Amino acid sequence: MAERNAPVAPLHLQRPAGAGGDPALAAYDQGVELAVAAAYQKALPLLTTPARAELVSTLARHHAAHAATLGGLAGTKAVSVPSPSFAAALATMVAALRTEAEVLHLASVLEGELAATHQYLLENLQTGPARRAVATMLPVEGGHAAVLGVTLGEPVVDVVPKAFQSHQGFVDPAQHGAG
Amino acid sequence: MAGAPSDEVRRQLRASAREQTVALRELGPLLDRMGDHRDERPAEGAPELLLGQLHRRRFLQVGAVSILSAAVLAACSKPSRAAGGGRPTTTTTDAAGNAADITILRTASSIEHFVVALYVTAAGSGVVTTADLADTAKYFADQHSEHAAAFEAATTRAGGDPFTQANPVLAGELAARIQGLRTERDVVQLAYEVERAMVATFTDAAGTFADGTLDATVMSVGAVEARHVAVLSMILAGRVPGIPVLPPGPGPEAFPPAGFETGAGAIVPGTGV
Repeated sequence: MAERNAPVAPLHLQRPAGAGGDPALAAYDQGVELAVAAAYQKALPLLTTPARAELVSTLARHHAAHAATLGGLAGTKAVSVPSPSFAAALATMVAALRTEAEVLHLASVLEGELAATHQYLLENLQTGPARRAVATMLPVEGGHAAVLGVTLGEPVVDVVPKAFQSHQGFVDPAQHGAG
Repeated sequence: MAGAPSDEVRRQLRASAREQTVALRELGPLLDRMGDHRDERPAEGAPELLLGQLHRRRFLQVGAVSILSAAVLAACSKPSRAAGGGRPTTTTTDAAGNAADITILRTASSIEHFVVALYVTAAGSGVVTTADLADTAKYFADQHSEHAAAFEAATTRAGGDPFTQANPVLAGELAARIQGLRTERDVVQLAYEVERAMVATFTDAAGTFADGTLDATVMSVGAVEARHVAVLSMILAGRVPGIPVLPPGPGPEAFPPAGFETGAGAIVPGTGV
């Protein structure tokens, strides 16, 4: 397994704050969380196994709660609707889902992207309180991803593929707006 | 990055393994009388099995909060940041802030070394007989070795002296419990609790560093350890193929039910270092 575990040094982008600073970045992440929560709600009817429906419903609640916290960080820049661009991309994916396994797989991918996005925020937010708030969410997304991976029957080395969380695969503000 | 434990950790592992062998021999009669808890397993497919919701009370009793004794926690008590206390969140790297950063990083590497030793000891103890579980323990130990090396490097960059041994307070507090490990379930439960405390510790540190870039560093580790927590929870729930942990039973929470890591049960910076 060692070769799968090659050191991946945490990256620190240290980009200068965008025009909107931390509030704009928080608002962007809020829109992403809302989009994921909405996508899960749309996919719920495909989950006929009660435990799996309960799991995805719980994850949706978590993302709505994260969005609310991020909205608090965003202040006057807070959003009330999902990121339009990202939500549109997710809607297309959800529309193509046919089975429980497909729903869980998409959720697994999204949780990994959310974890990467939170890592990206930790590398770019300028204030300690904002980073602290995001830090309370990042491990939870990691836990979500792992539970989904195990539920899908993935081996442990795929459920925890790297020794360090990175921002690789993050939902990029340059692609989905804001910042 | 170091891929293997340091000489000191190896020495501690050997000593721990010897002690555990003795303890297991003495515990033989107890093992023979060990009950079968299959009846405790919830119905297959119950949401509670996946999420551990029915067992929150149990987690609160035996989870991360109880990793260190009340006496040690009191000795290491600190003001609550949640109440507005603690260090200010600033990016100014003054001398006091830098020293505090170093203390957190040294504590972090000491905890990582401890958990490496725990996994390696468990995998080689004879208690763990399921090959996939032993492989998982070794895999997680490898990742923790990388985490320890990362924290040591960060300590050096901050101008400190890296802590390269297993945390002595944790080792002392948990020695009896480690010696008393009798089943694979015992091993996984202890690993779960320690990993849970690690996630809490790193989350609790985020936002408090004088050097704000360290927030991303500690959470790049904390996020992975949260995955370890979830996997261990699923193992305890009997949900990981190839790892039929005996005796079977319920699993604790795979992630915080409210959706936020609170830092509850965090190991206070400076403990043991």
